[in-house]
Amino acid sequence: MKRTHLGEFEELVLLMVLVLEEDAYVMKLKDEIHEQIGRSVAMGALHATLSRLEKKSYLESEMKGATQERGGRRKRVYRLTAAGKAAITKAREVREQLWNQIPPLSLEIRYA
Amino acid sequence: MPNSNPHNPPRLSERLIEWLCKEELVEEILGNLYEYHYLLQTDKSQFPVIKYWFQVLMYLRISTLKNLSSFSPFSIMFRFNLLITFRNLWKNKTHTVLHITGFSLGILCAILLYFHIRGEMRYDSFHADGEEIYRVLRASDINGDPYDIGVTSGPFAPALEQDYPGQIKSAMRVALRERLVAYEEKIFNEAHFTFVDPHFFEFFSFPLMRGDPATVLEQPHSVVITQAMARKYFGADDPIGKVLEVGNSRSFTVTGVMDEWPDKSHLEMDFVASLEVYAQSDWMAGWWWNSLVTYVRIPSLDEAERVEALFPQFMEKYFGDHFKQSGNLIHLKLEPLAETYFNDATRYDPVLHGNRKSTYILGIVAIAILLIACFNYLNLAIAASYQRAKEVGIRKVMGSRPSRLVLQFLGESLTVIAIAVSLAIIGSEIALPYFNEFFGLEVQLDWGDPTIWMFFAMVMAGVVMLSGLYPAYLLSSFKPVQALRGKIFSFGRHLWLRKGLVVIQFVISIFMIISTLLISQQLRFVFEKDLGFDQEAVVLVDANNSEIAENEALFKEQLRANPLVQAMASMTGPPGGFHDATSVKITGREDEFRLRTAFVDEGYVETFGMEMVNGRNFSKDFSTDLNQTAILNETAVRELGWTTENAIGKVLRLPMFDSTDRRVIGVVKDYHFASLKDQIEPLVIALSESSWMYGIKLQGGNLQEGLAAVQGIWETLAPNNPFAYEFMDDTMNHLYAQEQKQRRVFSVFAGMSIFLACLGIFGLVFHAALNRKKEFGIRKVLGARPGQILHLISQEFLLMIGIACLVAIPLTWFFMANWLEAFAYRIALGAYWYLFLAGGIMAMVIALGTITLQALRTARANPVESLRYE
Repeated sequence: MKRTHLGEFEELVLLMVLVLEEDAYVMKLKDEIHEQIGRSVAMGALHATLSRLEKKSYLESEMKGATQERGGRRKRVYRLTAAGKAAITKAREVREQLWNQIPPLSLEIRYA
Repeated sequence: MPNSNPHNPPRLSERLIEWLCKEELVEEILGNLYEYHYLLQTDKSQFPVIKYWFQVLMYLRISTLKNLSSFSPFSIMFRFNLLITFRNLWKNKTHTVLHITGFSLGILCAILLYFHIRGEMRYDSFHADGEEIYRVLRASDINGDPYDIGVTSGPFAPALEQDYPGQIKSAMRVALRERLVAYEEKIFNEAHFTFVDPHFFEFFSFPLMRGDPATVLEQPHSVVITQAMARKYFGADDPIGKVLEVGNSRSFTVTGVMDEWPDKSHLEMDFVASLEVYAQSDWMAGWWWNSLVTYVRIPSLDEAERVEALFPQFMEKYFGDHFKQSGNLIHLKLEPLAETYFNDATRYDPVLHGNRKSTYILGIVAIAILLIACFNYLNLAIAASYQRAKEVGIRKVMGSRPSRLVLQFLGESLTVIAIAVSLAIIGSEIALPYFNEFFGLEVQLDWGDPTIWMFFAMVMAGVVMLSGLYPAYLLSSFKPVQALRGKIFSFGRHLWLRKGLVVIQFVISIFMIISTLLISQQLRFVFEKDLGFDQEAVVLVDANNSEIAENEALFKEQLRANPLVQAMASMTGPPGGFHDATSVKITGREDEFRLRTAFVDEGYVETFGMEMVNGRNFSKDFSTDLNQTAILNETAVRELGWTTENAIGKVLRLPMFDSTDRRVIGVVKDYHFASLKDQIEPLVIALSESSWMYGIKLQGGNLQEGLAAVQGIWETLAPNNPFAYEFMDDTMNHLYAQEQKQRRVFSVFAGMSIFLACLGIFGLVFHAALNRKKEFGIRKVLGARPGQILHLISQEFLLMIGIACLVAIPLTWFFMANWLEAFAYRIALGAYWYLFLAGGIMAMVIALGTITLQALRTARANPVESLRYE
């Protein structure tokens, strides 16, 4: 059973990987997600999601860039594959399609 | 903490990841954690330790953990059992939380106490051939009671080396002093400035980070310092070769730096300087200047005994004339280094001591906590297993063999306990800094210690066996048909075991409650006992320099003229401080009598608010008072067989100090001039012109101004010496600091054991109510009121508590009577009978409270809820 659609968190992670470009690794992702969205995620949870996405071949990864503040250890940097880019574009299209179908009134009800 | 660099994440977390996670992931995970730790450190965020460990634990998940060779049949079974285990744990959440928190809290306390006690027991254990080292004590007695003195004088060491050349390998002198140390603009009064013979670092094995043990103190003006002192005075600069100004007249060159000590030592030293600088001083040459500690190295125990047997001749040779003149007879004895720390009965002892009995008490508390935690666990596990009867029945019907079932239960037990122990280990790392700060201790966790792992293995094996085997046996042996028909509860013959465990648990709880109450009563009694003198608003000032000694008369005169000063006195030692022991010759008596002495001036009795029972105080109006009079305390009068009335006018002589007789002019009411732990001893008070210390009683309500006035006078008379003072309240607190600390540790951990015991009671009642849910449902349907059901369930527990009381009360009485014997002034146990009662009642109230809460819930529940599954 292989899902093809993206979960909400998966989508968020894929977008964040794109945003961070060359520097998308777990610690940085956790930090950015906290910074930009205010959501605290455990690094373990992020790792699980990233490896799931990798298994679905939406992501690929590479070990590189040992630095001092990592105690001289390398990090796993993630990058979107073509399939990943396709999936996230698809997700966006689906959403926009749906947004466009909403009659203007049903949004304003909230303020009524 | 074991790792010295605060930027490094705890080593334990890294090991955990390395053990448990897939190898290919370890590098990036550790990197991420390292970076996160670094971020937390630099950000100064709140609760960094908790946040960090949260991230570590969240990393332990299926996608990161190592695979257990996934395809073997064993592994499938293992996984299946594990799954069932976790499902069961999840299903009974209250039970799981009680189980795991209770048990790991118990283990956590045991770990902390174990390392605390281990630290106490390992004092001075790091010296190479440490069993060769002995301390030389001077020994005598006060009218039958031993009176050992820790300090000796300078000539002992060379004389011992010279007189016993083949037997004593070497001798060592250590003078523990306080010194004013200055480097550039930094000036501190250092409490642990030590002077030693140059071969100190070969004699003892204090490790050196810089410098060669053989030569580091070769030069007379050399000093070795600790790393902390190097940082304090020189910051990041290289300390070697720097010159420290010590006191007002000497300078010492730093020639070495001490490394961290492997264990603690009874010698507290921040600076170790060569004693050579005092080689020509009077106090180093005089046999009676007892102000340093002497150690010797003797290669074997037999040899040491032979040497000790020769000491009477040694003393005769050097002190013979003096003994004849004074009537004092002093022996020497050898104290093995391993016993020095716990031998706190020695008088005038500048080294650090611990109390063996208190350490043992803490050990007993640790064992009690551990036992309670284990009993809780066993009771809960056994109680919970009754709930599983149906599961087991179905398993049996499906063809499960008993061995599989046993394995399942053991596995479950092991899982829960492994989780609890891991939590306890992580918890102890987190709790340690708070523990140390709260109790003022320096406990270190050392996971390299094999004993602690053996202890874990034993506790785990024992508890797993007991908690897993019994239910495994019980459940796998019954007939599945019975289990499925719900007849499991007819296992009456096994109830005695559970009830026995519950009773033991109550015994321990009641014991802990009563002894906690009694110990705090005793300690309060000691602290609040009337000392017989007034320490309020008294400032103690050291007369430790020649400037003030020269101006003493002026100093006293100006102080007494000052309206802010109520009274002042000079003395050899304040109450609670130094009081020498000496023999007296009583006119009209042949035998020899020994007394403690206080040499003071006329202001003494007034300054400390002592009460004269009879006769008069010293007075300036009688010029003969100085050499020809004395005051005795009540104990001395009583032990001499006099009365306070006829003592006045009696004649005595202190051959050690005087050549003329003294007449008793007054009797002072007994006061505690030594520690409250000791009986009040006979005391003679005499006038003297030489003083070592001043006691100044300030006008109450104006302490700050009064202190400033005293300081002002000091600074005009002794401008080159810092004004060093201490309030007597602080001194007295210091005297009992060790007891205070123990009192605190004891009460917190005793409280913890009581809490755990309550947790256990709660769990038991919880299950008792659960197991009888249906019975209660039927009773309710048939018209029983909640009160009656409550009565039914509490009756059983009350009986058990009753039995527990019968066992616990005599046990506590016996134990406490034994403990109290260590105190000279103690509470009478009989007067505190109500505390024994209170202990039992408290246990009962706690149990009944829990029972009421739990049982009411069951009793009030709609009977349909509990019955509808039939």
